[in-house]
Amino acid sequence: MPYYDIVFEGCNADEKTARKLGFEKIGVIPKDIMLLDLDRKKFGGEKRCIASGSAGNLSSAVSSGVAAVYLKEPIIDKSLIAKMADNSTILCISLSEITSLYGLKRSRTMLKVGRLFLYAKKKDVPVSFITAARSDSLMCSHMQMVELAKLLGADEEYARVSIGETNKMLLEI
Amino acid sequence: MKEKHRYILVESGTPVNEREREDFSFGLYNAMLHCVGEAAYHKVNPKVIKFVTEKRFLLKSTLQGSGVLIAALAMMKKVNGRDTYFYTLKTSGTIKAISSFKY
Repeated sequence: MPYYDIVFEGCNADEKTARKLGFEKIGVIPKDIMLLDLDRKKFGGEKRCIASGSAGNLSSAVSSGVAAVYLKEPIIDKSLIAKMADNSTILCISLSEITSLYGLKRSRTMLKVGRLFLYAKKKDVPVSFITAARSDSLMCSHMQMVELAKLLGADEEYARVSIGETNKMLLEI
Repeated sequence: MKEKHRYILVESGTPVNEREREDFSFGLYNAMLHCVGEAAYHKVNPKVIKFVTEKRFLLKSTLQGSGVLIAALAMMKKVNGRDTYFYTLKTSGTIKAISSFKY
């Protein structure tokens, strides 16, 4: 299965690195996909983008049909998740938030993100695991992404589909 | 019963020269112990087998602990006080198969 990842501009995301890490393609924000910070800017009706922000600010974007959502704080907002399930909005989970932390802070974040993932999965929201790395040190190979997803509670097959097909969908919107 | 192993080809973010290799391996085990935890470390049982290049080395672990090892490598950002990072490039049950990795 071909795998895909999304990172920020500034990372080494060329074809050679993608092959080395086991990806078909590494998408770059904002070149391949836009990331809208709705805590800073009002939603203007864009659909081909990932909307990020706190749960309260994302609600209108999900209703308007935004493709994917990235929650800055991994808090379960039941009404937002229900809306995302109705609109088939993809929930992006950033693995660099876990790998960039250390010690107790990392453990707590893993617990929160794991709970959010399991709740979203239970409600049939498509989940995408991306590294969203801002530097080379936060990038991962596809194997590492699968294992990190498993640590968050995903089974092997779900993790592979998420990193493969769901991420591909994200890059093709 | 013979214990099954998994070999993992790892790329380090910083080069490790020949003199530093022993210290680096020890530092790697310590960092791994911190990430995996004392209770689970024996299940992973990591061991640096050999350095392929200055940046690439082969890591051996138990079959059931290889998943935890791969996840732990994604979390390790410091070895012996030096900033670094690790990419796992290929896993295999034999050293011969792993040496066919091209990239």
